[in-house]
Amino acid sequence: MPGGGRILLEEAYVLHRHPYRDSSLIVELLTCRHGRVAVVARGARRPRSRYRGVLEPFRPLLASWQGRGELATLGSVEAQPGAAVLPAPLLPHGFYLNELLLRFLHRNDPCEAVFHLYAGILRALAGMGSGARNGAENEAAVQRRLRIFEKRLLEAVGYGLMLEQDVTGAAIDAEGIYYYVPQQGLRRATAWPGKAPGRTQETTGTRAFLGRSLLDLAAETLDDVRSLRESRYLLRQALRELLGDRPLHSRRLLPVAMGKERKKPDREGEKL
Amino acid sequence: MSHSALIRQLVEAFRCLPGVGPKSAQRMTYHLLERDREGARRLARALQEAAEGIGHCRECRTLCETETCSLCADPRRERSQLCIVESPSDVSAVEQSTSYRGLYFVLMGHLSPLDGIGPEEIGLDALAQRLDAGGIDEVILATNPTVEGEATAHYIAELARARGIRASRIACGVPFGGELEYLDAGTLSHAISGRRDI
Repeated sequence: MPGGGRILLEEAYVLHRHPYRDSSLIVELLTCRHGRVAVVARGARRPRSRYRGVLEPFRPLLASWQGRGELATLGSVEAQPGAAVLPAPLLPHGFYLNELLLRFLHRNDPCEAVFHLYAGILRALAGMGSGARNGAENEAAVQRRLRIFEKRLLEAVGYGLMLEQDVTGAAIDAEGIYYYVPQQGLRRATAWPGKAPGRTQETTGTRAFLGRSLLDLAAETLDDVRSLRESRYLLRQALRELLGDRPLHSRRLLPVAMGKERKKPDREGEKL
Repeated sequence: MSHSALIRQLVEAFRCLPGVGPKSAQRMTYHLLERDREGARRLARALQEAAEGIGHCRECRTLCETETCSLCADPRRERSQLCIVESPSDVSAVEQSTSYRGLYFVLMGHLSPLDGIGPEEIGLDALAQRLDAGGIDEVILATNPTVEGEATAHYIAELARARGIRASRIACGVPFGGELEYLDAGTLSHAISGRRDI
């Protein structure tokens, strides 16, 4: 915290917690006006700590902290009353969001847009759990939310995808076939690689996307099954490019959250 | 202050214990050396034997020096109920304070995706095999009521459900003898949403 300031009752979410010393925690917070902040919660692991049960992820908090340097000291924390809880089947999705934020955001770099984006998707996901338990319809709705979150997160950190024009500057044609070229954008192709659309091309490992899917993602209307699927591949490629080879651990938990028996992660899943 | 090499070594060794800083480590060292040499030898032997001999129970993964722990080997235990807990100390907590008579499975942690702790790391493949082997009618999920504990419980519940085994979650709410007025908001809202008929 520059200047060793004292921050009072700032809107925040817990992204992650690590044990620290014998009885404390280091808590990674996503805050509204100060970005991602790491604070020490002294004594938080003691049985009667005032932080017990409060420093849980996915719950809107009002947090106070003070101190200089990399690690500030957490003061009082209040849970904001009446907030909906993320239902258990969606916890893996929540962990995924938190991991993305931890990997993308630098500490003490304010980004209000990301905070509101995150708060918004948590509210939306919490609202979904009350409906039909884990139905296919529900799962598609969750996936749509996740894709739009990923797209907007990339925009907020300055790596937004150019989804309305290709690398030559021509408008994306809904019927066209496009490849994603890292660091450049979308390049139009003349034909599908392999037989079926969306299949991995063995030789290059790249996928092709239908222009319609790209435009749907740009407009954030992913009701079409194919647009949703291709958006997932595209965003995965874009995220992988930025995150490097270190895999996102939380993806390993996602298959079961979709109500499927866990199988060996496919290579794609392992990589990102 | 300078100590001799052996004393320094002992002080350093004590510091691996939780809550023991340089001051307490030095106090323990002097206590053993000045007043209780026999206790020191006993401690050394016990530490040596425990560190060498204690492994994990083949059935429930708790800490023990035999192949199966005494709980798993006890023929009087109810073998159709399996209580899933996070740590060996949770086993003793449940044993000491409840009338539970079934068996246990100790995860030695919980799912913590952001730390890279996934299903394999907490032995869920072994648990799945155990559920597959049959004989278990109910899985009682006694992981901690934290977000990670909930995620773990949900994951295991799915494993059980896929095999047609009943899964139940320990209740979470107002502590016995507590007062609503002083309860934190999270616990109280859990207690209200998890209310039951009387």
